[in-house]
Amino acid sequence: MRYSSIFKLLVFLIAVPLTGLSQQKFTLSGFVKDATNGEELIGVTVQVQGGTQGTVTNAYGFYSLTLLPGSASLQFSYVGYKSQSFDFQLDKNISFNVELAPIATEMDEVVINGERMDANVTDIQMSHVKIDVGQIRKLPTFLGETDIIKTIQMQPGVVMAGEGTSSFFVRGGSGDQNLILIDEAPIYDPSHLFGLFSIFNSDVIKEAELYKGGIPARFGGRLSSILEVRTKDGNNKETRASGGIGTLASRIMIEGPLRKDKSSFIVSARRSYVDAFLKLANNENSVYFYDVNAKVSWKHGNRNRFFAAFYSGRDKFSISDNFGFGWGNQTGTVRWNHLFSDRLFSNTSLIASNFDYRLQINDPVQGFNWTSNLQQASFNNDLSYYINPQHELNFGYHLSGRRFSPGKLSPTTSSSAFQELDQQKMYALDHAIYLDYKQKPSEKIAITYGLRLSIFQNIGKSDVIVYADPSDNVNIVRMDTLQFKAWETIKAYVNLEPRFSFLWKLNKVSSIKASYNRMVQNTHLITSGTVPLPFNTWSPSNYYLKPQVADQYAVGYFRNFKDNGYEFSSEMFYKTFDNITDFADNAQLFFNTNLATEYRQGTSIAYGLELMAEKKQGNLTGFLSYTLSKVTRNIPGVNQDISFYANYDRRNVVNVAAVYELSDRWTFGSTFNYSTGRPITLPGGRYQYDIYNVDYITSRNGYRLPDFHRLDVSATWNPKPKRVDQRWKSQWIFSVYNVYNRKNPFTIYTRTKEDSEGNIVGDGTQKEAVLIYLFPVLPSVTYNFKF
Amino acid sequence: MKTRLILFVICIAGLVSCEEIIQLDLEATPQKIVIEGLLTNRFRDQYVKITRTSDFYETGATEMVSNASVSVIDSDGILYRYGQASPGYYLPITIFSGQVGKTYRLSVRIGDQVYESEEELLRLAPIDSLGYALTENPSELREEKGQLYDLLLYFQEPQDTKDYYLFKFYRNDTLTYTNANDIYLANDEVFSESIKGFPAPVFYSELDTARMEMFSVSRNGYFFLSDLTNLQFSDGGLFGPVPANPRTNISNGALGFFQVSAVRSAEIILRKKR
Repeated sequence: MRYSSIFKLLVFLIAVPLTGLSQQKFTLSGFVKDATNGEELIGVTVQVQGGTQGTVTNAYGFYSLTLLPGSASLQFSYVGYKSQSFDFQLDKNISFNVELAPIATEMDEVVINGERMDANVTDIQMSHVKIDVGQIRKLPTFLGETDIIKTIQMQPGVVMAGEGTSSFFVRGGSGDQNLILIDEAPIYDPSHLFGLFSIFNSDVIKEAELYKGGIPARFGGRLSSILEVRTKDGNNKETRASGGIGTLASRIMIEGPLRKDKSSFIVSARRSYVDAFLKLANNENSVYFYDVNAKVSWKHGNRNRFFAAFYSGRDKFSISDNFGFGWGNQTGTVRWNHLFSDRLFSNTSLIASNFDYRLQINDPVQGFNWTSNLQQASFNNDLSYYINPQHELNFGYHLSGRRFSPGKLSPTTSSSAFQELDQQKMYALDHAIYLDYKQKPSEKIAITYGLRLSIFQNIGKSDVIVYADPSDNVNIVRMDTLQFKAWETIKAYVNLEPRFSFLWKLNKVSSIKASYNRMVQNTHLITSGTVPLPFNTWSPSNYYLKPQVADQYAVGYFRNFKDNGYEFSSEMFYKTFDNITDFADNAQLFFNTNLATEYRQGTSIAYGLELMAEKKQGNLTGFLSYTLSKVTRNIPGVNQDISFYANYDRRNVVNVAAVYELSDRWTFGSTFNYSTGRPITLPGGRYQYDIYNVDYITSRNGYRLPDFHRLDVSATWNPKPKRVDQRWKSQWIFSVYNVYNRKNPFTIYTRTKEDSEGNIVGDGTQKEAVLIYLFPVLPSVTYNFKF
Repeated sequence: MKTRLILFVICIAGLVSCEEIIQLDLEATPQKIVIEGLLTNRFRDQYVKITRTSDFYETGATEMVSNASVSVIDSDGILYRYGQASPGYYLPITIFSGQVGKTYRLSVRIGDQVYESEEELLRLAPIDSLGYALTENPSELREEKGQLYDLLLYFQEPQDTKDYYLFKFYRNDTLTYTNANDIYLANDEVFSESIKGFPAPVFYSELDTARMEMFSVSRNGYFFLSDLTNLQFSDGGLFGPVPANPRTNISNGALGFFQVSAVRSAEIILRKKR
């Protein structure tokens, strides 16, 4: 009912500018690239000089401007690059590619992650963060690894569960509500070493963007955020190599042209070497991780560009030869950019993604092998139609097929006490059609309205068990089994997801933005812990699990000072969640053939205020962010139906990052984090059962961990090259993590009082609480090179 | 999953000891009734113990509940009255043993409150035999304690029913655990029919007398005991589940459990082989 009027509005608004096209106009279009390495530049401002019309390059460096005939002068500008202007006589459509030269810096630290200078105020996209990889290299690291997730965790509206974790929680959403994409392919678990590091090797990252709200219609499938990571295409001018030797891991990257200016490749690898130390120490245990990123790209004429990207990463642990476990992600993306016309840009992608984990015990009797995986294949077609500088239409179609294999247990020997057990596989098909219309009705106002139609199908082959009471996880009564054939629909869910953004430029330096988005998530993480683990399995929506839905409203005030030298933003959000997936108290989630009886879906409410001040120019750069927020959950059947704070509810969060460039040789960086302790469930009392001294739990998340705060510092030294034209360049980064050695709380557990040997003290009735903290003051050194 | 293991792995990565005892600031909590009952097919196993919860940091024995009226009635309508043997500790007035296949209903009255529980005494397949062997991969701790023998279990698991088992191990007649809070529990879902030489989780030395008791437990019992294990080994809900009170079979909000089991036991003396 209420959508039909939205449709009418859309048709009307699109029809109006299209009819206006009868007037003769010409299109200027092309790609903007970096002059030194041929990388296409995203978000370059293309402005008609002396006018107000302009655009920005898209994710593939493409721009298109349709203007009235006559002479026009275009200026191309980008942070960290020299601006360039060109004059055109518009009497026909013109295709024009531009190469911008970076402002030279000593280390050749090419800023490929620039942004339009006044985007904070003039871009309609709010609740959005673009991570500057060049900048975070100068910030302190943990054991020498630059990690974009650590910077994501410092953004306003984002909280973390604790240090040493790669999960993040956006505006009251849980850790599984973030869609993490690498070259459009989804990553189901971005952690290495249980989250100490993320899988993103900063050497190959071209751009990382986080959307927290006002999410464009081309994204869907998760409730709270989209983290879109794009890797470099590779240098198509000359072959270059770079690498680094860190405290924990080393990296190497090679890139270069296959055919100059036409095609390029990039290969990068990273591996940790804790296992080498363990071997030296004669330790039989082993632990390591690796990542490999590779990409080739080539163009065919000016209208066709192709990319093939690949990622593979894995973690492996083994304890002597008896016990081993590990996990990994593999993704592959093939992309085809095609220009149907100077104004119609198309991107078609074929995407594959795999996530798996395994556990193995080697023993004649107790031996078994446990494997679980999740595979996805997707076809995405995204089109942009640049009608004129005031109107832009983005639309597309996405299709995904997924197979979830929650677990297969197989005995490793014939004498094993275990029998083979294969948990039922689950299949899902996701279709989405979307439309996003961007309009600038006046110089001061921009509006985007979009609609995403998501059609989800849980399909066979599968057996669905019908329970007398699906919410009774003790006395399970199976009434019936419904059998579904391959491809047969078990359950379909159709959802309309409206998206809306609004920009009102108050003047040249300030604006007000507002947005609304509805997001739908048909993927559910099966865990009742706070931090997702690689050993958690996922489930599609199904006969019992309904799609999770979130509605978010946000408003913000944006202001730049001193010629865009300082940016300030303040946003408020209000977000409601329906059918949020949770689990019964004492849920048995590992290996449960009646898993459906553990599902509990409820509601959640989150709201907050976010403030951010950022300085992007000068010798001193950095940001200061503050978030005040609250998130509660209300899950029938959990905590006696009483509403409780979500596991990741932190009232106050403050983050500071600063980089000071003292000279061409020395740069200093520092970060500081503070946040209110997260809620935790602690016992209110104790009792005796048999020989056990048992905790008596009175309420869920009724207590809070002590506050978290930490200061890190770093210094980067670029040694003076021996010759001016020397190609080999090196860099040393010295970092100190947790400078004042704060014992930051990770979690608290309770036990019967023990002495240092682990023996029970006294009569065994005394209890104690143990605080776990992770990292003391930790120095690290990284050596980077480039040639 | 034992998520404390993951904490341990991460702590190792931090290369430091990373535990600190802290004092929790807890409010006094209203007391709750705790009922612990056992009924088996063996004479003299039957008892009911009634206590109250105490505050977290309160030490010493928890408060015993006297003057409760306790009785059990079986599915044939036979009533067994219990009397208080010592404060909070109730024994049947007439000695009896449970029978496989019968259902037992426990009823406890304290003041005007009645707490009830009902369980079936489930069958238990016989233990074929026990064996022992020198371990191939002794841990440092086992070498230190000289406990180099594995106790091996031989057993036929009936595949036509869902069975749940609780194990208790004795060393020279003393009940023993590898770690203080261990509960040795099994669910037959993953087990094949023939269990041949499955090593016990408790280790033995030469010349030890090893005794194993095996109990059949109900589905409820399995849930209670596995919830209890999860609670005892909780990591505070970081990676693992949020701590919660175990699911019980006792009504009216009491904590604890009424365990009804068949029991079998086997014994072996570990003599040096050859």
